[in-house]
Amino acid sequence: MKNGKYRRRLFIYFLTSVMGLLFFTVSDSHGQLQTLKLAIPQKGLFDTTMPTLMADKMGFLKEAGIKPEIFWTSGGAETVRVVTVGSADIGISTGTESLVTAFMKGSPVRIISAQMTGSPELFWIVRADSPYRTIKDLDGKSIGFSRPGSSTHMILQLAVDHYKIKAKLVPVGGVPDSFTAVMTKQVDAGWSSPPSFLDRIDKGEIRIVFKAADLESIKDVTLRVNFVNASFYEKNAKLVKSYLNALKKAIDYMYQNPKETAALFAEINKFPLSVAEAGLKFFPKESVALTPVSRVDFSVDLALKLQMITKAPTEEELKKLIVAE
Amino acid sequence: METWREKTFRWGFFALVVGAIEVVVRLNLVDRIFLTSPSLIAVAAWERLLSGDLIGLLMTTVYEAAIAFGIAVIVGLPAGFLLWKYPLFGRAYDELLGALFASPLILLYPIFLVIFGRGISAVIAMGCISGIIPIVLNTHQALRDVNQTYIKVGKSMRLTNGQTITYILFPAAWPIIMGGLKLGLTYTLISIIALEFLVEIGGIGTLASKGYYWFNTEELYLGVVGAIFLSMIFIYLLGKAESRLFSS
Repeated sequence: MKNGKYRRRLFIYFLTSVMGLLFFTVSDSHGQLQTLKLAIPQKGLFDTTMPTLMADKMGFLKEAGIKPEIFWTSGGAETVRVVTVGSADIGISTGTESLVTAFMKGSPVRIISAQMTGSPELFWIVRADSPYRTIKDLDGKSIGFSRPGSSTHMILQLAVDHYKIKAKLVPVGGVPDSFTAVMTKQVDAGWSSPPSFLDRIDKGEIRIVFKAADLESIKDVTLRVNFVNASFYEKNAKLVKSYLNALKKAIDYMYQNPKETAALFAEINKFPLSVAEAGLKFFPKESVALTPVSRVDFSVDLALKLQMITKAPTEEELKKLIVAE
Repeated sequence: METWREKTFRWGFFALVVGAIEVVVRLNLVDRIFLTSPSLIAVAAWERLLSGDLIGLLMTTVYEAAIAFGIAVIVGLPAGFLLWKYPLFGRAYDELLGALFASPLILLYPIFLVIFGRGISAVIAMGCISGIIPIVLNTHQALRDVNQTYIKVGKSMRLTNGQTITYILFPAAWPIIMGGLKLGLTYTLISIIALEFLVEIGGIGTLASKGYYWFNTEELYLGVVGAIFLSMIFIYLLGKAESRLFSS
């Protein structure tokens, strides 16, 4: 009697285990998602963060058979190294000159698409009580950028040349660090990206002294690109293309549904919705288009000028580096 | 006295490691963006020595470290003495300092930048704070560990307080105090070079940072080698000062 009860219980356990195993196997075979490791710089920035997160939220990545695994980085060299070593498969929105430099120094990277062209969103701020009104007033003063090789570094170099001023360029780090450096007078002006500090500009605590959009010469220059580890690309070109398609869908969706985009942007950055909505106006759709990767010669010239590379890449080398359509 | 066997083992192992790295890099077994060959680092060092900027960077770090460590010693030794002299303070602050010593003080660097500005004052202050704590803790510990019999003997010989401190307390406590000074120096140097790397202010850490961000691996490792070189020189000088003090 006791033995029968024991056997019955054992049978129920067995049956439950088999059913559980079957359930997981079936659900997994239905899913068949391939993990894609993404290195995304500076969480919260519009072009680095929003397309992928929107693609994930709207299920575009899942449709493409992709399960994203995100690594947040501080940008530039860190993103390139993470992808070079294979810890991440794809690096998002990284300075073009950083990629050119890394490639010329033997790093196995390939540019798969543009992510920011012209960078019209970046601006430089000063304290409200600062005597400086325009970038020309900053001659001989200190101006902050994020990190060497970043797009803020590129734009600042170009601005200094364009306006013929001699300024001390100081690497201050991310947006919050830049703001602290400005407010505590460590630097005379610092960079920012919307919607960060738009509310403080409205309140009159800080002022915009220069916008990257003012620089005509960079309007068609792709300053930040998406890139991939070369050996990963050789084996997974189709997956990479599926990811880019999902990103493109997400970008289209973002501009067709600005309210939803602002809500997600506000949620990620913990901003009020109104601030996020104001921030979106800084990003015209064409600036975040994935194609074309244009005017790479501009980044090459700058990398040469800054002595980041000693010789320009040849046509063949550029063809090898840029696999974007 | 160091024997030739010890020297052979030390330098033999060093040569083996350097040789292995050279071979691994030359055979392209590792990406040059992560590791470069010692011979290429030597070439980069030579070029920078000729241009004069390597000496400038090294001297900046030496200057920052010397000032920071000097202040740490001037403040740390008397502070440790006071913690021993007034046991209530000793009991009150010892654990707190111990906890601070174990914490990553480098994370406070933004506050130092705000207080001291984005310049070498912030680097010196950061290095100084990191160096003071082990000096205070070890001085306090060393004085507590002095055998009370020595002090009683001093008293029986009617030594003044000053004489007791000079001839009994500090000589007896010196080995542990010296340990604290060595730790203090190490922590000072680590903080200084780390802050130079993080905010690109000043000396050899800036060189490593620039090398890192511009994918110039030789420059990155030259910065690292420079930091090790400075650390060895400082520890050597401290050892020399110790042997001079004990021999006099």
